[in-house]
Amino acid sequence: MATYQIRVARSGSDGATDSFTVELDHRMTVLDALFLIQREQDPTLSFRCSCRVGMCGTCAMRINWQPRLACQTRVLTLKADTIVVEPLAHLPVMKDLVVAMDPFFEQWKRVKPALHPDPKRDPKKLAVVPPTSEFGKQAQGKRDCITCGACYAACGIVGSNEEYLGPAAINKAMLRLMDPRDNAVDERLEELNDENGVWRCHTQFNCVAACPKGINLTDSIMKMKRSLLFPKKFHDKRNFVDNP
Amino acid sequence: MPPLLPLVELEADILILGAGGAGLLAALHATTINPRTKILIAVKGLLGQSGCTRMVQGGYNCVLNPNDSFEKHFEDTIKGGQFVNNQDLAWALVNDSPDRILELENKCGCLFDRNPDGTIHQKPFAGQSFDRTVHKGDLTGIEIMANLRDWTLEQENITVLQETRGLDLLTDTNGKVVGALLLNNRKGEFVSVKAKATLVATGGGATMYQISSPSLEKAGDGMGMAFRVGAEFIDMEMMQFHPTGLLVGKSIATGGLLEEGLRGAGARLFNKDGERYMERYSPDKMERATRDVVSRSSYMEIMAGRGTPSGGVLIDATHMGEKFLLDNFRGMVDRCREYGFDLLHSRVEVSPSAHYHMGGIRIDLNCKSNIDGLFAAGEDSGGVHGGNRLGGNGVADSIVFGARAGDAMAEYIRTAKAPGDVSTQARQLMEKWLAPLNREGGENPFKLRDQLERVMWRKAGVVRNGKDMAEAIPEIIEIREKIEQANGAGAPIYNAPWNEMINTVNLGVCAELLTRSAILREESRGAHYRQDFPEKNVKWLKNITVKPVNGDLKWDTVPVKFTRLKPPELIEQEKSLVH
Amino acid sequence: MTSAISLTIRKYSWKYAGNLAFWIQRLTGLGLVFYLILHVHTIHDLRDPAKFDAALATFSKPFFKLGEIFLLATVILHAMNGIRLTMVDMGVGLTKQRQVFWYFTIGLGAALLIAGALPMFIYGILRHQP
Ligand SMILES: Cc1cc2nc3c(=O)[nH]c(=O)nc-3n(C[C@H](O)[C@H](O)[C@H](O)COP(=O)(O)OP(=O)(O)OC[C@H]3O[C@@H](n4cnc5c(N)ncnc54)[C@H](O)[C@@H]3O)c2cc1C
Ligand code: SF4
Ligand code: FES
Repeated sequence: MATYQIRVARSGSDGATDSFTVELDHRMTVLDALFLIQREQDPTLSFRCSCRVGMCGTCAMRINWQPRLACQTRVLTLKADTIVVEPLAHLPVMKDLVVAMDPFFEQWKRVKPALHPDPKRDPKKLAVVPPTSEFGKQAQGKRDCITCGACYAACGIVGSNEEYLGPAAINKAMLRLMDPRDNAVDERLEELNDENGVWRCHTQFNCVAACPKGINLTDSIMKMKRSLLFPKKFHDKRNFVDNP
Repeated sequence: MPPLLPLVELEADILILGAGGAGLLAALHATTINPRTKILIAVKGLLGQSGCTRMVQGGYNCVLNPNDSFEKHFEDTIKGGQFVNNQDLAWALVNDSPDRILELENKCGCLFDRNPDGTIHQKPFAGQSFDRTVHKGDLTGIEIMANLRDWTLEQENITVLQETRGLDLLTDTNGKVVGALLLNNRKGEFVSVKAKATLVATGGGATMYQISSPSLEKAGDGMGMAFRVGAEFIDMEMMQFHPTGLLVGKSIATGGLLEEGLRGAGARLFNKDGERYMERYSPDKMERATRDVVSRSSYMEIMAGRGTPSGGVLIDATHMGEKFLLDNFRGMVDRCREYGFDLLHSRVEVSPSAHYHMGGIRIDLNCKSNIDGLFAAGEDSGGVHGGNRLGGNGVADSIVFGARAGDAMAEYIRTAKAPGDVSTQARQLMEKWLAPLNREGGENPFKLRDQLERVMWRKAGVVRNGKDMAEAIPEIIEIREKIEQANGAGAPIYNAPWNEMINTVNLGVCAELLTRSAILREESRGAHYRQDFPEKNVKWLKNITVKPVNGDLKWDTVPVKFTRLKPPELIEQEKSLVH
Repeated sequence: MTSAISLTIRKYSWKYAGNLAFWIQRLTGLGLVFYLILHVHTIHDLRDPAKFDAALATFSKPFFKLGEIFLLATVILHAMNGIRLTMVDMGVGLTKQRQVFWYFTIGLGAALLIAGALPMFIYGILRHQP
């Protein structure tokens, strides 16, 4: 058991933080600290969470200035007695640590996140996708996004231009574009090939550093930049044998 | 002056409460049948980022391999459920689930793990005669929900109200369900929705136990709401406990799961004295025994004082080797590491964890409840799994029956009349739910919820007996009475105590039905284990049903219809009768 | 205003390589642009040979040599980071971007700097004859 100061940003008056003292053991997380505060000290504190095991992606917040998942951040590992907890940057605060994810999902929707099935494929057959196929290779390690918004909040470019697609949306577009079952190639490429699309990225790598799932988002963005520069190569890669 | 929150009035063809697998599949199917169906989805958390479908690790059972068969899957399901499943529902589950996988992949864009040759990979899961579990690594739920969410986002006929919870169902003078009253936590306003058909798919209430695995926001809301309009429930005593919930001290992460596959792959369980105790309880199957057996064994070890100081047992996977674990259980290794456990090199503390409620609203093949206009699917409904659910059948249930509900509602609304005015009723209900927000003083809802969880854990949990449960009833009733007087004062948006109060009201309903049901079943079957009746009893090849009638509970026992498969003990009995 | 700046710095001031590199590239770039303007301006003023010689004498003073070393450092950082960025664009070393930054841009850059700055330091500053 150790005592920690938790400074929580509150939405009531401007820029106000409230300080709480909580006792935590070495396995407890920032989310635990918030629950303790809410249950025992200040029930008006609001934050978001659902799964508490790093799967839902709803508990992202800035913890000592880094966007992270509260449920996956053990307080001990922060190596600090005072912990500052703030809502994610670049997203409007709704209450305390709860932000509106709308800007993130507005960009997400721009790349047509849903599968647009190729009508030529037989819907009664499962696609044959060997792990060594182009899609298998490209998608490796990229499919675990939990839409937590940490990358969006970390990106300095998003901070200076809210029209920018943002890393997660581009990664999603990349996955759908490489998917042999999908048919909305041109629409997505057009969306990416925009001054607020992939070209806005200045390879800060902040998204990569922030992503709790370890997704290499810059890699996806660069892949898309190259695909736009060399369309033939991109289309060759897409057309691998499927459903032989 | 107490705050009087605004009431927004909306209308839809289909109202879906809950956006887990069941809710979104219903939307998908209703939209497929008629893309102009006006669908409104209310979800307590974020769309696609709440509920247990999101948290599914192991995977989804379905028959895809020519060497497998529906009959085998069906038999596994019925045997797992110890023959009290509704066999027609179980057959529908088995029969539909391959089609739904095709739909998830080819329509929604999921991609499950593949074999090296590119065909779909199916892994073994406990209690199954064939390797038939489709998965994506050990984080299958994210793949399913993220893709369903993306599909939903692009539909123009679907409106989603996020962070909006159902409070109560609205009924017309004939008792027919015609929509629901919702609370929008984002805006701090009530919403009354008039709908021709209403689906509850809020994912059950295993969270009524002290140690439980589901997502935190779930609280038996759907069952609570349905109960208040007179729905009939079945198998309420059947609550599955997962044997390997992580024990993370006082952390909220306690109860979060270590995947079943770990045990399947050969992980071992030890008590505090380093004894492999499964040798005593299930010498032939050891740790690979079904969930109920392993959970019970662990629980008895802990109760006998052979648990760790924090009340758990130890799981050991170290002998499987670092590489194997990292290749196959990456997610679980990481999860342990998050809390400072090292699954690769040491034993990890686990405890049984309340996981899945087999019981729920009684439905037919079209997910219709006994109340006109009210449909239920997923964990809120009961009957499919009988006394025990196989790993991998849960998400299949929510996907299959969600889809069935979607189809059925699309059909139903073609002839259903538009509901009349509901605003008077909505306002009455609104006043009821507003009371705690304006209350001064009163009980602390967090404390009451804790109390309920503790009572349930100790007296109606993994191992039950008549005496303890009889004691539990007045305690539950007291909590249910007190919670009505709880204090939920504060701002109307994101008000945690207020929401906890509503949660506890609903959990209280589930808890009481569960405990009373468990008292009635004087035998041990599946997940329901009675110390005072430790054996299975042929007389209990029955389902317990209950519904509220004029403020009272009307109980009934219905013999199981063995439309496809007869239990061996019954066959034997018949034989002996003939001779 | 100050609070806005400190907030911005706080928001992005992690010890993350990519972020650091981003700001290094902007700052060195600005520095070089500034230098270039100064350079062109000075040359422009030196059309008279006598003035030219006097200026050269001034520029060979130790203080200006130090400035040149600083200039060299700026050029090297900007160039090495530029090469790194080109690699990123071509998809090289993307999974090892932190190492690329520290070992290539900073490490190799420092080696180049030492190789170039040592003679400048010895002959231009230590053994400087007025
Ligand atoms: C940790 C874990 C692992 C699991 N692993 C497996 C597995 O490997 N294989 C398997 O087959 N099954 C597994 N299950 C079981 C499976 O997840 C469930 O059976 C299934 O997902 C239930 O789906 P559902 O759609 O009924 O509910 P859920 O997916 O739980 O969705 C419920 C939805 O309703 C919303 N909601 C709740 N209350 C309200 C309200 N009042 N108003 C509006 N919305 C509300 C919630 O926010 C949520 O969106 C697992 C369960 C858990 C908890
Ligand atoms: S890419 Fe990573 S950081 Fe960004 S939303 Fe997805 S999981 Fe979060
Ligand atoms: S609560 Fe789900 S990711 Fe943290």
